[in-house]
Amino acid sequence: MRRAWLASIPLPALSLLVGILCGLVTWLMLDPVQGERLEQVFHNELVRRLDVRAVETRHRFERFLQEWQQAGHSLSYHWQIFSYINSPAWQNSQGQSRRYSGQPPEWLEPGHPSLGSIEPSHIVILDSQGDPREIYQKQLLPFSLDRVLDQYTGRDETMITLVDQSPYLLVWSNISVYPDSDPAVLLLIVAVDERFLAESQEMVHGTDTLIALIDADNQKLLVSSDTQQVKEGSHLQEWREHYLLTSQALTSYQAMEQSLLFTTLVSRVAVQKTIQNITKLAQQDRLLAALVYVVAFSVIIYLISTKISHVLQRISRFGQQALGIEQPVIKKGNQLLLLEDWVKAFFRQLITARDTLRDKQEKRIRETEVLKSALFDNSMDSIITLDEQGMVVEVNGTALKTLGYHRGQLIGHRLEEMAIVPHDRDLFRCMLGGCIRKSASDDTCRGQPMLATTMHGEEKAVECSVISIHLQQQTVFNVYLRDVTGRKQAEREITSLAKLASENPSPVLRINNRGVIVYANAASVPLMAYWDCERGQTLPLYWKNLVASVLKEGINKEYEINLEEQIFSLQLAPIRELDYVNIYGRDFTQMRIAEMQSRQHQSELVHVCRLSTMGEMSTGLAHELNQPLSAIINFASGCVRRLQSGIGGEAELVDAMAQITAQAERAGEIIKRLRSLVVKRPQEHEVVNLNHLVLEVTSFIESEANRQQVEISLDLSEQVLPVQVDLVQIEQVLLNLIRNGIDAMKQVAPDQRRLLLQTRKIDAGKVMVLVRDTGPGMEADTLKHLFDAFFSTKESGMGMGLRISQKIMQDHNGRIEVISKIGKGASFHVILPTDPTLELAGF
Amino acid sequence: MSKRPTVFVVDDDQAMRNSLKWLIESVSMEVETFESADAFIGSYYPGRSGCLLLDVRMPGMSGLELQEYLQANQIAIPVIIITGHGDVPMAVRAMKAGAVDFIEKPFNDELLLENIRYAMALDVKQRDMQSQRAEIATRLARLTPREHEVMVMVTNGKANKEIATGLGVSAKTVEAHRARVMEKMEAGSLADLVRMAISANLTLTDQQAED
Repeated sequence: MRRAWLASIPLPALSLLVGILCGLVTWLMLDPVQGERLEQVFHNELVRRLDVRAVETRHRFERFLQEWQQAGHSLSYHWQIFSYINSPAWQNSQGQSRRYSGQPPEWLEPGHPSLGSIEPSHIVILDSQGDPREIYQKQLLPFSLDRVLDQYTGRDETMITLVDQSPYLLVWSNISVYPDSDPAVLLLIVAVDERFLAESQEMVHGTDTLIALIDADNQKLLVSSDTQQVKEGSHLQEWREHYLLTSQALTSYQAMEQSLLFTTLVSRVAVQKTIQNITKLAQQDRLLAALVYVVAFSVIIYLISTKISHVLQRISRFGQQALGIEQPVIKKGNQLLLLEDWVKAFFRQLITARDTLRDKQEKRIRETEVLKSALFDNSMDSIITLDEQGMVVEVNGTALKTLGYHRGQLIGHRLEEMAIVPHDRDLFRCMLGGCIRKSASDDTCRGQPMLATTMHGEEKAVECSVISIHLQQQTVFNVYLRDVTGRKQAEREITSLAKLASENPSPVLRINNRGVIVYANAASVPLMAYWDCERGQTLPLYWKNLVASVLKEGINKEYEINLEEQIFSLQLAPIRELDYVNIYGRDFTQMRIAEMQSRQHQSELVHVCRLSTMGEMSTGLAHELNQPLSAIINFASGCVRRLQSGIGGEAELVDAMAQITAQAERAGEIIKRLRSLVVKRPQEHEVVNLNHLVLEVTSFIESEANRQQVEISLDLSEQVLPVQVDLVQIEQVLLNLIRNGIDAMKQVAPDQRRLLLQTRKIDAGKVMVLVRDTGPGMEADTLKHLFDAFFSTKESGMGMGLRISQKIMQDHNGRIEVISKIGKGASFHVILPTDPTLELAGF
Repeated sequence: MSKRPTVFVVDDDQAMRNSLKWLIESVSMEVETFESADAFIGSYYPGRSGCLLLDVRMPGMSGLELQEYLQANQIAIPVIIITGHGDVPMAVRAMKAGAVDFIEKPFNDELLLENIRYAMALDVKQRDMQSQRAEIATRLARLTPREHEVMVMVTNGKANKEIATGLGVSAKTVEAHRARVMEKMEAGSLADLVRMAISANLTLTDQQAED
């Protein structure tokens, strides 16, 4: 499922997705570390830079101080030169000092000394005793001048001193006027304030860097370059949060009592901002780089995968077309996954195909072997393989059968010694030799007639053929022995069979597809005479068309042809593969005559059968008659009872009487119907053989006799017994007697039921038929009434059969005689007149 | 039940039907005629009393088949078979199937009427027996299983003591049971009870059970 989902994403999309994902993960993992490290580096760098800056600021400050010292020196020279020209007024006067305020002294050039915008608050000239002689002050000092004068050490010096927690710069500069004159000292007093500090840095730095002087004892800020940001008098500690601090001692003040410290302050916010700026910039750079990488990577993957998918589609199409694999062409989705599946399936198919192919090949080889061995074994010829020495190597089943040897008896022996008569052995060797030399023509190696001997010494005519087979190492011979005894026999048989048609007494003809008589046997002459054509001539148009249609349909057809004297049935049998029709004729003139006679006779028999069922009919008749009779009785009885008991109206009785009449009429109708069944027809006397008559009757009764398990035996006279009779009537008499016999024998066991029919010539004028049964026989009393009308011993008998029979016999001038005893069966003799002059009719 | 006993005539021949009706009505009996077995089955209901005059040979359902049908449906109406000439084997079959008698056509009127009277009487008797049997069955249904057992044993001729040992109770209890049986069966005497048991096939079934 997941795989299918994965497989449905196109490879380029997937590669893009993976690329972006990888980039993102790498980014998320690396970015914080990188940022942190970068920050650390920047921080360290900043700290280092701060130190450098601190050194710079201090250096600048000190140089500023030195500049002040220089200014002091230059002013002192200036004063010296001036005093050299104009000896100072105070030279000889004691302890008097002159103060200038507002109006600068003459020796001071206007604007001097000053550095930038900073000017000294006081310029003091001291004498050698250290008393101030001239004082020029720009502004009033907040303290007594003496407090600073005592700090003079006698050397040129620049120093910062604290007076009431306010720093002041003191610049001492010795003046040597004349060698003889007293030295003097110039003192510049400059207030070290915000402006001073700012000026010292020449406003190089922005607001992020400040400098300040600190009282080392209490860590309090004395003055800063920007008092608005950093208040004087505040504790240094307060600023650590917002500023990075470096404090160092000023080198030239080491000897000072007041320990002053020079401090550089860098705004933390600014630093932080800088760091952040830099980090952000770096981050942006990284992001950009990452994006570029992802895009580049994705594009490359996309290009590669597109290429791959093209290749895969091509492979897939190739697979489909070349191998007929029903693998779908890779179209959409993740081609790599699909490829995997496809390749798997492809290999499976490949393996299956290979296996199938191998199986097929093996099967074919096996089949071929089986076929070959079957071919070899079941060949009609005897095949014997000999090696170069003429020894038997292999032998087929036919050879074993023909020669009568077992396999083991032949293999490894010389064939000619085993199976060729001595007379033909040379010929055989010659054939082998000729075959191997190839000098002999084909004929000498093929179909040479010779005699082979079997194991039992029997000689057989064979045709011997030899071929040599050149194998890699040796040459072998295949010897073919064809048993031609059978063929010779067959040739004889064919010759004799060929005569079959010509010997046929019925017409046999062969007609080709153009209707020409190709062959006609001798019996066909009447037919051809009728058609008025001979062998090699075309049939009349009607028959020609018949032959053509039969040939077309391919089905046997039978036609009748009525010649003047003969009737033929012609069967047209098409032989389509050879394109001709065989005609088999059959003369059925006799059969047709017999058929016609039989049909004629049958119509007569219908009547006989009708008569013969008289007995059965009587039962039905009784039932039929019973109905109206019973009704009549009932009506009559009803009437009588009503009349006796005096009930019943006249109308009612009359109605019943009418019913009686109606029923009586109904009975009359039934009897009339019965009579119409037994219409007496005019007698047709013809001359027949009595034997035939009996046979005929027997054939009618046979099935019934079988049903009743009665065995009928015939004992017919060998003489022809011609009688002139009404055939149907005599048959009826016989049938009646036979039926009576069969009925009578129902009372004895089935194996005792035998009926004898015998015909005999009694004398020149009389013939008779004897019908004898093995039934229970009859009493003399019965015999007396046997021929009375309506006398019957049978349940359903009418008592008419024998009566009618006797009447028929009387009509024929014949009679029926009966002999019977109880337990001895009954014999009926039917005696008919005959006349030797009678001639038999067709039947 | 409501109608008078009737002679049902089933014959396919109209003349026979009419003549039979004419004859039987002359002795003042009710006659109903049907032209086929099916027509008879269609209109007859088992409650009707009388007898059946049946022709053996009929198209459709034959007389014998109708007889079999009646038996299969437990309709106990007496049947007189009328046969034609030579139908003896059929008549024998009919008799075996329980016909009262068979008469061969053409027949004596006296013989026929005699047979009809006999069949009528038989019908009455059968109906009596049937209602009696039904009555006995309802009485039998009132008995408890134990009382039933006691009745079977009593009617098989066993003495009270034998019954007591057979059932494993005291003779007195048997006596009590026996009195209740007599009462419930409304039997005046032991002979009465035995007669009822026989008509209800009680003794026979029980003997078989004992075997």
